[in-house]
Amino acid sequence: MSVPARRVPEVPEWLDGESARAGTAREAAERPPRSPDAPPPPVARKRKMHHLGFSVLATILVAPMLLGIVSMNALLAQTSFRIDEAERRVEELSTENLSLLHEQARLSAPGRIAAWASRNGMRLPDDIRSLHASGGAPAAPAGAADTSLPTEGGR
Amino acid sequence: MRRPPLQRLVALLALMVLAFGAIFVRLTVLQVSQAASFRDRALDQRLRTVELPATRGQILDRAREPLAISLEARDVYADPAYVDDPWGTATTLAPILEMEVGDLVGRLTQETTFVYLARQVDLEVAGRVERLGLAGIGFLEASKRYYPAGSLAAQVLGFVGIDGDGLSGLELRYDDLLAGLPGERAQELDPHGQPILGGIDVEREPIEGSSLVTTIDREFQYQAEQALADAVVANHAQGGTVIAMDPHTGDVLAMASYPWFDPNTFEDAHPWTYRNRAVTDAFEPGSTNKVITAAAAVDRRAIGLDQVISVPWQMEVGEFTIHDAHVHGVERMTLGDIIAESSNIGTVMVADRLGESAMASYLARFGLGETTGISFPGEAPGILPPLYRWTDTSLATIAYGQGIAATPLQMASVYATIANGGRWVQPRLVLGTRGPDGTFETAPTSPTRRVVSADTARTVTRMLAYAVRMGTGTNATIAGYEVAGKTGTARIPLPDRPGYYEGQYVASFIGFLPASDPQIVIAVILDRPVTDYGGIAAAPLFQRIARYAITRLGIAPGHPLRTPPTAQPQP
Repeated sequence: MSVPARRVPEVPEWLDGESARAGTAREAAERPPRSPDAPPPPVARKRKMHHLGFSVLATILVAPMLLGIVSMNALLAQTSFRIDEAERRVEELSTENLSLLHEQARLSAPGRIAAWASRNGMRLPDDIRSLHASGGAPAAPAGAADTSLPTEGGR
Repeated sequence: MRRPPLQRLVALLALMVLAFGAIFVRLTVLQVSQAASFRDRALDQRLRTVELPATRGQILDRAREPLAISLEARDVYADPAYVDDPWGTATTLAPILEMEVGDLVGRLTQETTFVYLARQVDLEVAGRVERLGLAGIGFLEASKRYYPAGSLAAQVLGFVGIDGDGLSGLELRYDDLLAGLPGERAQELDPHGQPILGGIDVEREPIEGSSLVTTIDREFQYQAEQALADAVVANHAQGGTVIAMDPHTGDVLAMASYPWFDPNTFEDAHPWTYRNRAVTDAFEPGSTNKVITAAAAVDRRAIGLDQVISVPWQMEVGEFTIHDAHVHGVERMTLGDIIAESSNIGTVMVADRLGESAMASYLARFGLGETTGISFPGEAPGILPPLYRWTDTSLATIAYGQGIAATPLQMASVYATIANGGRWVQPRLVLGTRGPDGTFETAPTSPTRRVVSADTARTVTRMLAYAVRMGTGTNATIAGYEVAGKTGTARIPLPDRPGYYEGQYVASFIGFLPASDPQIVIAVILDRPVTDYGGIAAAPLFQRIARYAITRLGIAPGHPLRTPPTAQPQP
């Protein structure tokens, strides 16, 4: 069985929400005023208390949570910045370390040191003398051998 | 209204069914059977993968001083689609990157989204380019190989190519270890080459390579190279080789080949200078090989130490006549005299008593004819003909070091065997490896094998010391120290036919000191010196290097050895 559709009274387009609310207020005003001595209805009072309790509880629960989330986000962001900074520092130090290694390797190269020593008049000893603890005289310098070619030619 | 004929409707329906069927089939092919292939192709179009090179490990000397290091560098690339003015960009970049404008323009106008402009540029250069803020120019992290001591030990170290792969020497042999594991960055890009937000962007960090700690002593190597270069120039030789090694451990302290090159600019050098002649080039050792004949004869007691034999200056062997280096009458010689005087005829007479089989056996036991196992790319085994291919003259010529070929390293190992009490030790160039975390892993000790008895080694050492003191090696003497060694003057075989070059020789001296407690073996070889003889050209070079070794290694003088029995009048 079908019920014929009931036409819902339309709110005219020119009547906006505020006007509609004003209409409702007007209707309320037309109702007979409540006597001031009359106690409020018990259901409404109970509802108000309930709303208040809920609001307090929600504030107590949500406010610290919000604060916690915001703090945690701030902490995370701060830590990220620190990590980022530390990583950048590590990279800088690695580059500096490589640069110093390069410099050290270049400066300690035997050829460079030998050239520097040579410029400053240093040279390797021509001979080696071994001193004997028994009191023997030092041996002749090794350079002496340079002049003694084999009599029959080397083979 | 007239209805269309039924046949036409059926035909139209059939046509539509066919058309939809074809579309369905094609869709099935595209979406089902070829879906994976198309998905991959689409991903390939969008995905750009760039390899992040790992930092190559260092090569260090035995004191952990750097011989080869990797420096941070940048690869400069371009995305030509974003380069508004290729000519202007090229003109700006050319002087900074030291490239031709035309070359850069060519690269900047390619139909691609990625092209290298320059590889491994210094950070300072990359910084200058970056500060220009040119559109379409980007940078990739890279590393550049640097050899701080230039040409020092160049042939031993080798070099790496532009992609960081080892191309020769230790860089090639230990490439896997040094190279590390490259990382990778994969990014999904839009048609304009820009990263797609939320698309694939994966980066795998590269793993740094391990460092190689070699047995090379950087200072010793430098002095050996200087001495070698001076000797080559002084003797107008075409080249030369020096090896210095510890006879007990097989550690190679210095290994030099002249002429050399600078591995920092290896592309400018002639490729034949890349060869580490000490390991890759075999030569006929000449008289330095007589030590094997003498050791075999003593070990097999083929001749008594005090036994005197009459040695003419020449003799017939098969259809050939062989002779000593100078004319002399029939001389009475012991084995000690034969080695000291480096008599070819005396050596042949001793080898005759030894026999072919024993001679071949001792040559092989001393390591001739096979690689030493030093783990160096291109090591030559030398040439030792198998016994069944020996001719009538083989025993005679091989006894005094002609008709066979050995590398300088093989010959150094022969003398190291005598210096090490008759025990052959495999030469080595690597002490160990140092991981990216700094932990050092020692390389296994070199394998050894007994070649001759300790008594034989001592006896031969006395002969070698006598050869230096009173024989052909007097130019190698060092006052206060007893040097044991042997000269060699070998003819050079023709490359394309039997026979030898006239008047061209390889002069060599191989010895160790102090004779009573050998601490270092030094082999020096000069290629075609005008002074010809090993005793004149090579022995002074040995002396210079040995003198440095004494101070560098703090070698004590030791004590003099007894002179071996001799038939010559003693002073």
